[in-house]
Amino acid sequence: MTINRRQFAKVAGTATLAAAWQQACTDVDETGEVSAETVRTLLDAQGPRGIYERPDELDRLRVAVRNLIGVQAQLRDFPLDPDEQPLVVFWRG
Amino acid sequence: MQESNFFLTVRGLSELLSSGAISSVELTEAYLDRADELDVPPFELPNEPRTDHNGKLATMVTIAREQALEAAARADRELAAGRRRSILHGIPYGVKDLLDTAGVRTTWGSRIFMDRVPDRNAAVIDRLEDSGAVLMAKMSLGEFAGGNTSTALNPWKLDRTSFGSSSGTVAAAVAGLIGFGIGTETGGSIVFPASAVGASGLRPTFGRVSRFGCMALSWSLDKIGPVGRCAEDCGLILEQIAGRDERDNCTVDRAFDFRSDPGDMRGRRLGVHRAEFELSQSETNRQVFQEALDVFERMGVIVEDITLPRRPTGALFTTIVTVESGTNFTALFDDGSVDQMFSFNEDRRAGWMAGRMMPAADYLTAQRIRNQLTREADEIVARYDAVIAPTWPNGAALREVSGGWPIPARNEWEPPDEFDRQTPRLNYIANLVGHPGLAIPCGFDEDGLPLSLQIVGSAWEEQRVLDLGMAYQAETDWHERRPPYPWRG
Repeated sequence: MTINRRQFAKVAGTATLAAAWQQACTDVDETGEVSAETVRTLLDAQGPRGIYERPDELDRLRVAVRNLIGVQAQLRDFPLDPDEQPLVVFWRG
Repeated sequence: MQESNFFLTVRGLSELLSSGAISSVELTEAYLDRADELDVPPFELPNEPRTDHNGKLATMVTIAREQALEAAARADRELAAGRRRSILHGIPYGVKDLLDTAGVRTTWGSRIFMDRVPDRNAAVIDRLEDSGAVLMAKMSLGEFAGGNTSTALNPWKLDRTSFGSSSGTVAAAVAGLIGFGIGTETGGSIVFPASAVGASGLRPTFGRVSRFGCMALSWSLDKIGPVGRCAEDCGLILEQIAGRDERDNCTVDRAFDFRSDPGDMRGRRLGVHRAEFELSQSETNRQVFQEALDVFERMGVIVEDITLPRRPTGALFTTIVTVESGTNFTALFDDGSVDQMFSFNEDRRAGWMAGRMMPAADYLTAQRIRNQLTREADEIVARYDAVIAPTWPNGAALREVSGGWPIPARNEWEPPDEFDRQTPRLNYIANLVGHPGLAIPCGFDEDGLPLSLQIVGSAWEEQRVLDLGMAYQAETDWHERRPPYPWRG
C-alpha cells in the first residue's frame, strides 16, 4: 500500500502537528517567517487544505501562524505560579 | 405617533402602553414604518461595509414585520384582559442577528447563512417572549461578530463608524428605530459600539444570561446583554433575560431583581483608572471625562485613583478567541463555505485556522494567566462599588471604506500603538475576568461625536454598576441627546 505525505500526516495526527508547530517556531527564529512547507504540514494534520490550496490564502495563514507564535512567546514568558490552575478545570457544582 | 415617542425609555414606552394612549400594534407599526423610511438601504443585507447607503442607517438585517405585528396583537389582547407580563410588555425590540429566532432568518452577519432560518428560539428570545416584548428586527453586526465591520452607520455622523460588533443594535436604539435592543460581547462588542453612538449598553457578568441559541464566538468569553437609551433600560431588560439555563452550563442559579431607585450616592466608592483617561487624543475629550468624574464627586461619591495590573491581555484574547473560534467553525473550513466570508475577514479566518494549530498547552497557559488575572481584578474591584474608565478614549473614527476592505482585519482588541500597549485597559481585563460593565454617554468630542464611560463592577454586582449609571443620568442629560435628523454626512 502506498501512502502519500498528506495521508501519513493525518494518520500520524497529533505527533505530526506538534513537530510541525515546533518547526514553525524554528522557522520564525531563523527567518522571521513560517515557511509554506511548514504551514502545509500543519494544515495536513488538520484535514482538507480547502481554501489554503490557494497561494494568497496560504500566505495569509503563514502570517497568522507567525503572529500566533509571537503570542505564544508572550504566554510562555509569563511567570506563573506552579499552583495556578487554568480556568477550564472541570468541576461538578 | 409623535417623533419624541420613538426615543422614550422602556419605562416611558411602558407607560404609554399602560395608559392606553397607544396600543402595541400601533407602537410596533410606527417603529416598523420608521424603519422602512430611515433604515432600509438600497442593497441586501448582510453585506460588506459600503458607501451607497443613500442616507439609510442599515441597522437591520431582517425586519420581521408580520411576526412583530402578530406578537403586538397578542400583547394587546393580553393587556385588554388585564394581563401585563412585565414592563417590557408590548414594546418592540431588535436583537443582534446572532441569536436564533424561530421562523425568522438568523444570518450571523454572513452571506454564508443568508437563508438560514432556525426552527428554535435562543433562550433570551424565549424569555423576552415570556416578558411580552415584541420581536421586531434582527440587527446588523460584523460578520461572525467581528469588530468594526458592520454595515450600520453612525446616526451622529454618517461618515463615522458605529464600531462593533453590536453596531446595528446600538445605532437603532439611539436613532429611535427600536424600543430597546439585545447585543452580545466577547471583548467589547456591546460597550464599544454603545460608546460610538451614545447608547447605554450593559455587558452582564459572565454566566448571568444564557447563550443557548446564540452563535458562539468564544465559549469562555461570550456574554449577551441589553442595550437601551438609559441605564434603567438596561436593568429592566436584564431582569427579564437573566437566569439559570441548563442548556448553557456557564449560567448560574442567581436571580437578578432589579431596583430602579439607585439610592443615595454619598459614601459610594468609585475607583478611577486614571491612566486610561490620558489615552484621549484631545484636551477636549479629557475635559469631558473629568467633568463626568466631577458629577460623581458632587453626588458624594468617593473617587479614588486605581492601578490595574499590566498583563498580556492581547495575547490572552488572541489565544482564547482564535482557538475557541477556530474549533467552533471547523465545519466551515471543512466544507469550504469559509470561502464565502467577506473579504475583510480573510485575515481573521486565517487566525482561526492558526488557532486550531496552536498547541493545547499554550491555550491552557492562557487560561492559567487568566485565572491569576481574575483573582487580581476581583481583589481590586472588590474595594469599590465600581471602577470606571473611558469606554473608548475618543469619539467614533471615520469609516474607511474603499474598493475592498481597507481596515485590516487585525485582532480588534489589540491596542493600536506602543503607548496603548503599555496601558492596561479596564475593558479587556473586565471581559477576561467576567466582570459586568455599563457604558453610558458622558459628553461629546470636538466633532460632535459621543464620548462614553464604562462603569465596571465585581461579578454579580450589576445593581451597583447600574446604581452609579442611573444616578449619573439623573444629574445629566447626555443620554437624552438625539442625533439630529437629517443625519449629518
